[in-house]
Amino acid sequence: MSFKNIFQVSLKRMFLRKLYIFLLAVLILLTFMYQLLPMASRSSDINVAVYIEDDSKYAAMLADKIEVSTSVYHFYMADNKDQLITDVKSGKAECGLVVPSDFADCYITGNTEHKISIYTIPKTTLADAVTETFFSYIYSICATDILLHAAGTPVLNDSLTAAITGYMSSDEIFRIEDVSTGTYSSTVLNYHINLPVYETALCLIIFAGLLGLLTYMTDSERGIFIALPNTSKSLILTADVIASILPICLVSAFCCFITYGHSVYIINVIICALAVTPASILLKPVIRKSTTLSKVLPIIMLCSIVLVFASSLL
Amino acid sequence: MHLFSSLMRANLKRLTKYIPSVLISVSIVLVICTFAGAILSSGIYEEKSREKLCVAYYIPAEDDDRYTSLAVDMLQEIDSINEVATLVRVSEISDGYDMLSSNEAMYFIIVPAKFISGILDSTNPHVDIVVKDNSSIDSYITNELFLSLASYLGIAQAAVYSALDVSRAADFSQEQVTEIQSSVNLTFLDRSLNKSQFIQEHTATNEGSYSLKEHYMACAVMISLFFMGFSLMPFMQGYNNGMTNKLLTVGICPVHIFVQNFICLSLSMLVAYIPCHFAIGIYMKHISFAKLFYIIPSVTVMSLILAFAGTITKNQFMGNMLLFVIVLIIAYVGGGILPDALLPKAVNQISDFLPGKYLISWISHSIFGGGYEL
Repeated sequence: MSFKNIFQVSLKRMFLRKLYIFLLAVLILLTFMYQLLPMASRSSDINVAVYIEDDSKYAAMLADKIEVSTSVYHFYMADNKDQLITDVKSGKAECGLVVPSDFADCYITGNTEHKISIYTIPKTTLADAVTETFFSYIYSICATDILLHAAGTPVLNDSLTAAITGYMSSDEIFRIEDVSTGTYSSTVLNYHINLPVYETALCLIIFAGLLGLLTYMTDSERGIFIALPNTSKSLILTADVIASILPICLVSAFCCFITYGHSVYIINVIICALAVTPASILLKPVIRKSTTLSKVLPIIMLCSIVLVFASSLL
Repeated sequence: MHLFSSLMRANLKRLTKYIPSVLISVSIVLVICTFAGAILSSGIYEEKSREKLCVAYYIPAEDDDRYTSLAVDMLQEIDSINEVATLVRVSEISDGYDMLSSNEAMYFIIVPAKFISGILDSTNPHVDIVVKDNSSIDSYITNELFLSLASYLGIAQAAVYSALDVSRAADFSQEQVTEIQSSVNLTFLDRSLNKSQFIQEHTATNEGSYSLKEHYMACAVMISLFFMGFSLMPFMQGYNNGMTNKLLTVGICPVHIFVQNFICLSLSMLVAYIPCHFAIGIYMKHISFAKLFYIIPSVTVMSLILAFAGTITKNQFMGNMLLFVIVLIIAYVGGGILPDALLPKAVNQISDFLPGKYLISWISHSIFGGGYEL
């Protein structure tokens, strides 16, 4: 018996397995899906989600101020607090600001009972800078009432209101001119929606190795190889494992090339296949029965998935 | 009915032989999933840092008046400035330009003599700001920050002038004018500088009312309980075609077998859940006895899914594979692998119709809802 003949038989048998064809189809389908999915786009704008629970006149003024803002931060109104938190968590918003009810009244009087909640994630890098801009809006909206509260002389209220309104629009107060050249022109980044083709390929190679081993063990338990010497049995085991891994490895390499367009992933796939082949063969003396392998196979797969996906996620 | 109860008794007897392997497999999977969950929860929202811009500034040596020094000190203490830029004082104007040309600094601020004194007496001397590159996003962020800080200063200045003008014009005594002036100065200083007392910071990484770590621990328990199905697959598929046909003749149909499987799975899952509950409780330093039985709805749903996978498949391998795929889908769509917010929109929309989300929530409630802190 030559290895070539054994390998050909193993390969033919493997292609008769519906599960194996299904695995190959999954990989090819995933690659085609990746290619066919429309390009997604993401703006480089620094989005800041705002939710105003306050329903006073100040809230309306703040909403108007946000709407006409030419800030580099793109403040937008979230539908509700949950939506705001989801946007921050998903990275859509740099951070989220929730203005509680009666906040403006408290801010004017210096009462710290109601606070603005700022939601961040560890990726947030501009929370303090965003807060500075946001508070400058609140500060300018509440300035007149803060002055009236601080002066504490109701008879002067009209005069103080007129005076501060006049000063705020005059050239006598300190200002810095905008040194930027107008509104920041954000770029739109186009990208493919990321499908885990590479990670799936690695997991399938590991699975294929175990499937090859399982095929050999099932045949062996049926007594098919009973008359064969140990060397022939080893050849058949090796052929079964290679016949199981090789098609998946080739298809994986092809799919990775189509998806990512460079050879790094192909090399990684080949290295994985080269490592899985002896590992699967060496598992034979450890797991002696096909029923045991059937039981532990999902756990081995779970560990593989956790390892492969966790290493690429982190 | 008598035959059904006899079969039930026989099955329960069979089940006792599987319990040790169930407990071992649940423990192994729980350790793997807890470890993966701990790594994911600490690393999924990775920390990022922004490279700070260098802002050079020049203050004339002869203008070392206490107001300007105080202003610079205050500016350096502001969190938003520290987040975005590093302030570097240069001794000569030419040094500032050198820093700009060598790309060491993005901004160069030339502060005039008597700058703060000028603001106080309303002469408002000009500050020259030289920008190396005003097209980059960093430049826009810094510009925005300066504009915001300047607007605080300007508004405070407007308020101080207004109070001074109006109180003087109102024929108030000098003491009253001073009192109003001090109150306005302090109030505006407080509102512009002590913003932190009006802000409460929250980390948005938690999943609902549970922390991300608790969420992943609950998911680890869910996956472990599901995967005990691998140990129980031979138990569920213990009836071959011959036996099924024989049972049919005495009135036991596949539905009865499904119900038997479901009851046995529910019982074994409850037994397997108790060590998981306390192991996770000890790991998370939070033990709850009272809510132990809140797990019953989750156990019911999970047993139904397991019984379904075990009953419709013909052999152990296919049963295991089907269970594996079902569990992965349930865990992924339910936010057990990636948090809800990071899942694609389409997946989030279907998650309401699959049990994963609810199972994780119920398990979290059972383990972390109330109880004692260790």
